Amino acid sequence: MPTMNIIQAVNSALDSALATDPDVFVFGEDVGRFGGVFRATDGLQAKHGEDRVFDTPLSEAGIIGTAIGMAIYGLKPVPEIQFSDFIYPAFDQIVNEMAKFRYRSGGQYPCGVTVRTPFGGGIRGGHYHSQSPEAYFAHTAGLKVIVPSDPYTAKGLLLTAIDDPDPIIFLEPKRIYRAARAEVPEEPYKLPFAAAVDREGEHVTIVTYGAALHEAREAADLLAENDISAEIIDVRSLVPLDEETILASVRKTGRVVIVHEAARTCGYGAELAAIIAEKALLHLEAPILRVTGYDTPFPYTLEQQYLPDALKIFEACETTVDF
Amino acid sequence: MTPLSILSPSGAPKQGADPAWSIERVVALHRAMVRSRVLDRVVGDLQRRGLVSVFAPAQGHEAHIYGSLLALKDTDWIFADVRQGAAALYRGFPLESWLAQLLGTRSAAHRGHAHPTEFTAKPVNFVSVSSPVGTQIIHASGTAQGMKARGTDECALVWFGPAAGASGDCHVGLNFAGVYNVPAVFYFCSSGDPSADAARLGDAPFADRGEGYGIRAVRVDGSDVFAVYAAVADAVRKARDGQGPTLIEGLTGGPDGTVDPLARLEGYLASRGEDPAALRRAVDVAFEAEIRARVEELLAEGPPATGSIFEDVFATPSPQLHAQRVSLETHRRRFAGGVID
Repeated sequence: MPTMNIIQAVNSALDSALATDPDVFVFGEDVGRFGGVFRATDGLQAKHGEDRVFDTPLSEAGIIGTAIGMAIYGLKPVPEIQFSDFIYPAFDQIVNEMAKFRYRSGGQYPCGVTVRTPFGGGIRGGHYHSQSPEAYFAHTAGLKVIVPSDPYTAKGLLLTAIDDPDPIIFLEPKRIYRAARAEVPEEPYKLPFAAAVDREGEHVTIVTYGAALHEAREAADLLAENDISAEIIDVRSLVPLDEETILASVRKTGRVVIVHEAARTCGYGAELAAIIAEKALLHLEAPILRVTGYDTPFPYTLEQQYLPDALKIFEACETTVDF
Repeated sequence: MTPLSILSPSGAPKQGADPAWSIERVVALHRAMVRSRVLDRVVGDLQRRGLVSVFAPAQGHEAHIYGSLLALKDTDWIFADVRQGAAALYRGFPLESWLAQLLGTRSAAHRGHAHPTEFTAKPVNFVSVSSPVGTQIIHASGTAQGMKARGTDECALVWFGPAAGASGDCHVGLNFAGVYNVPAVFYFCSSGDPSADAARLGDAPFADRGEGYGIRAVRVDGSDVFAVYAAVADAVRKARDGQGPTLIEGLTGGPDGTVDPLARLEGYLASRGEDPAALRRAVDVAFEAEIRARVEELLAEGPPATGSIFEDVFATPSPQLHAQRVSLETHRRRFAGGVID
């Protein structure tokens, strides 16, 4: 089995979807000839043609609006928004059109668009190349929000997304695009939109997704050195949410630390904390804690202090265990 | 750019411009426009009775609508603004299905999810109307790009007004359509009030914008249904022929002032020896009675079931949606006399 990074895994998924399904179209800014600013679509235009893999004008509303027009026509567009920080010009098209087409037509016009977009910080990108906008989309009825955490989940979840009949915001953790490497099958495979127990443990549950998963693993190693056994849940699918995998872990450990890069207030962690409080209150031994980005714009110079890292997660887990 | 016109304001064909359609075809066109007028009137009445929250009448826009429809094939797709909902009926969408959506009753295909101007008529390729203004212009370009990619001879037509013409999505949609040379017809309907339009769009003819996008553009007298037909038919032929999009500026009210498209067509009918008033009477009373009868039947069927709120969010409801549905139904069983639908 070949070893791939996330970029290669995404490329492999798109390549396989384009090869097997004539309804799949891949497009965005610099996606065609150049192969994408992160090279995720490298070589796909040469292989599959300029009609299937193409460059677009710099207009996010145009990219998503075009994808909507294609999807209601029965095609499977996979547009790329170059950075999730630039998705907002398409916000109306995403929230009022893509997310609502199925609903307002009584199921007659499904809108199966898969919007791929890199998100998150840690690449010295400043506040316009580092944001984590998942909560906006998780809050919008009709959208599915999927976040892979490594090359294996990137390929399997992306192939599931492309065939899914609903619109999907597929957030790729760009900080670990190349850093995370894993064995990835050459052939196509699909992973369910469900959470996974990334590491089993006894004393505290860390619930996280995306690049922060790797910080959680490092934290779990540090905790182990201090005789604290942490279980890690990789959420993977924010909408729909696999509550049971999370709740089963909470019932086992009784302690929860939620980790994400996005700002804290009304972040996705708030929803997770509310669900856990509603459904597992009597299993909790300590307050639910969150390790998140701060309620500031994403800073440039001090981004490492903004980001949740292993030590912050370690500290929060220690606090909850000592409660 | 002089607007294309075929009929004079009185309805008599201009010298050498007689469309020379069979009288049956002209009478059928007249019937469609009269029905549209009746629908406007009856829906206005339903609004006053509080049965319809909002509606945008088609009055004054009938030439845009029916001139365009006559030039399209059934396989072509329509992206409408809020004013052209009745176009779905002309394409064969059943009146009772249309009225069910207008009223939001139980048999509405959209389950009462959308408000009265937001029609969906998929069987006749009439895409769900959206209240956010101008968004559909990009969708039309995207669908047309898909039609081109699939190698069909289909095209997409989008109607939009001055508010949409001022939107960012209008610029984006025209730009994308020009870049990809898609088989689409962008039909701008002016408001009929030139000073109001100038306040939104400036003084230059809207059609002038086509040149900047590399899109062929024409102006047409939008109360002259034959002129609209000729302009759209030419645009559609070019779209099917691989010559890409056309921007049409349809001038509502006509260049001579406030010429009513129906009155103008009736002037033409009179010039062909028909009695327009008699033709109108033959349609009007019977159609109003039919609408009112269907409305009463639909009101009797009541609103959609409570659980329908949760349908069509996703292809398959998520566990969270299912739980919310059970919660609402349980609540209503307790507090609404056991009624959940």
